[in-house]
Amino acid sequence: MSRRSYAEECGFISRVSECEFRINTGFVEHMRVPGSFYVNKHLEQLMFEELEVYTKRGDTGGFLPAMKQIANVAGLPGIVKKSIALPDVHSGYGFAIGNVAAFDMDDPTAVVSPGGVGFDINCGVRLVRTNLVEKDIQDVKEQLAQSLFDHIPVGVGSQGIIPTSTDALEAALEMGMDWSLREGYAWAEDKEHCEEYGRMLTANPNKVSARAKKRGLPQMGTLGAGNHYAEIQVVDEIYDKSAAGKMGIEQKGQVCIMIHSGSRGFGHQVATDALTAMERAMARDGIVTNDRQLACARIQSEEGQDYLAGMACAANYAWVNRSSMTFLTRQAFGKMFNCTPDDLDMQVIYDVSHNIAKVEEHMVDGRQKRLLVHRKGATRAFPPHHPLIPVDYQFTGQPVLIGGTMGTCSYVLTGTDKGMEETFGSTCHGAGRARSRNNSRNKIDYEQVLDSLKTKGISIRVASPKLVMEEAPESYKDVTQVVDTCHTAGISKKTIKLRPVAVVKG
Amino acid sequence: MGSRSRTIFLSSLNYPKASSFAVEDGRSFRELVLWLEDTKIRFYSVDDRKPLRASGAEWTAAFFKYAEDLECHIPSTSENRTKILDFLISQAITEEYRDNCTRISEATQKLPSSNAAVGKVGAAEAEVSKLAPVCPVFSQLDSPEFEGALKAAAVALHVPLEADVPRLLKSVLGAAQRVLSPAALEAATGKTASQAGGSSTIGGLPKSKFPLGFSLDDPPLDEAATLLRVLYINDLRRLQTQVDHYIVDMQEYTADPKTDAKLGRVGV
Repeated sequence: MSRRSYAEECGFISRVSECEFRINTGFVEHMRVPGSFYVNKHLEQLMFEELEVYTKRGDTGGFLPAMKQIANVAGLPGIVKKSIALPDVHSGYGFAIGNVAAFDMDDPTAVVSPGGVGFDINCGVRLVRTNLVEKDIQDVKEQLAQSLFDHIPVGVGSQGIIPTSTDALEAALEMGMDWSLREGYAWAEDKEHCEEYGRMLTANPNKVSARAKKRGLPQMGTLGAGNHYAEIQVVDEIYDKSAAGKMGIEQKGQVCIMIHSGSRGFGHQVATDALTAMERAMARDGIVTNDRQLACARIQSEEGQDYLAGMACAANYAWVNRSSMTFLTRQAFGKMFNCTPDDLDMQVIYDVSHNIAKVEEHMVDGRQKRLLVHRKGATRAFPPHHPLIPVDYQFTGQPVLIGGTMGTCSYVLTGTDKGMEETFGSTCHGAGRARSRNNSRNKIDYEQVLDSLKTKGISIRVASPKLVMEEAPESYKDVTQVVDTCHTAGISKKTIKLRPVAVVKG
Repeated sequence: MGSRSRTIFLSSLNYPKASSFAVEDGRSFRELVLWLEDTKIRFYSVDDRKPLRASGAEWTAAFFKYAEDLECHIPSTSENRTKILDFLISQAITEEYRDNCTRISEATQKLPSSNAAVGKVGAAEAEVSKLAPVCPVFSQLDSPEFEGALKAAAVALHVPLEADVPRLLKSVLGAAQRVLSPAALEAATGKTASQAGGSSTIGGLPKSKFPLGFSLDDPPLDEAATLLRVLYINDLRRLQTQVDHYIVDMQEYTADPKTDAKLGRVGV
């Protein structure tokens, strides 16, 4: 197809409401359903600018603009309703990050795509509360940051301090957080407050390559690098008192710990292995996609099933990983305040996953359907009374943890009925990049970044200062705008705002 | 009425043999009827109660007459004697309430203000705990005064009593924090009281905090459905707590967490 002008491209985009746009079929070839994206005024500008640059610059490699990627996903076999992008969307491998797409389990041609999950399978966020307040930690902030840094190894190539054998790894892959419970690294209540109760039952370690296991073994209990972090945060604002109360957040200034991490090298290897297998399956089954990066396989095919079993192992790995880090955090706090983590009320508020594909029941055109919902850089946000959310949150809706970028605020939202109807019960996952990693490296000086954190009074420990600039707040969209857009659109509801006081990063 | 609820009603009437009462035993049956009349119902003058003190056929006749005099509409047959007894018990409860209704309503009216008084103490305690969060939590547990006060607090807060004082203290503290949290106090004393009866509450619960998730377009039905939801979720919470207990019990046998700082390696 010859390239259209920017104005012609815009002809396919129509405004649905104050914060939603629709990408009509025809925007790219083979679209089976429309696309849709949620933005506010500022984020809208970013989206359209990106498209404009693309139409003018010609094909120079790199990722396609997010709008094109959303539309390409809308062309995959078996997709239902629409391909949805949340306000923090930005282009990624095949699927844009911040894209939600659901495929009909009863359609034999429907596909599963590793690109729709992402390389860091079950990358997610966990929030742990304490009964401390800001002034309790004021004088020991530096020591606490150091203690966390000592307990939780960070950075590329870091190795964990929890001894793990090959057998233990196999068990952990199969059992997820049940393994952590059995071995005593987690509390019973942790499991209750975790998406999927911390274990995907479809996991089958036999479907995972030896290479993935080898990469995963020494990394258990480590944060990793990139945008992963452990932060000590304090409650800055409470928007919904009663929902916050259900989460054990009673007052401003209360201290929490946020852990943002994933399945490390293990998940990456599972995804890489699957992509190779799927290219063969596509040729065999005659699956055509608009973009080579959208490698996929029929859900019911051997490749599809193998990927889902392997992905479930990686998801379990990530939950065990976050549980191990919770254990280490509890130890660090216990030592610092000379009492048990129990006395500090260090309960897990919730643990969300933002890179995963799950089989869920949703209403499509008035009928209940089983769908394989891919969430890549998007968080599940189920409404009150959904049977899959913990009993404590039945009246508030599922807590949704939105990690900000290093040094900016984070949020806790809750799921809504509107989100269930419009976005398959999904919402944003974080700030979303505004600048690519390379671009950031060139434009931002890491010393400046560290200095600005210091002036904000944030203690920071990093393994590799030079990588800090990739993750600087300036490289990201403004998380507050992203969250406000989701709140205004009604697909989730603001509950708590947190601000960091100490950051540990890879 | 089943025998269990009968026991509960009788103990609430302070009947001394409430726990041992068996409806099949003729003697204790007669005793109970007489006790109900003597101490609670007092329908006859003392002299007129004589036939109720008799035994055998004479007593049975007196019993049926007594029921008739009280305008009980249950037919006077020996199969119905239990039903008639239950009628008498409910009469006794009505009388008991009538005698004490002023006292009971005064006691209920006092509740919010006494809550507020306790609240102040709670706030003071909270201040103390903020000042010294790192102090060992249990330091003066051995005094019997403390234990007595703790048990009284547990009863007031509906916390099940247990012999282990530190554990009891923990449960009581948890319950107190819940009941006396600033939000709960505000709800109990201030804003919600003025809203009560308005359309924003359901059975005294603010609607906004307990969304039903659907509507039957009939307010009383919606209210009933919301209350069912609340009860169901309470049941679910109880079940989840039991599950958590089982997991903790299991961990006694399986858990052995280890760390080895020598293994740790910080990346680049």
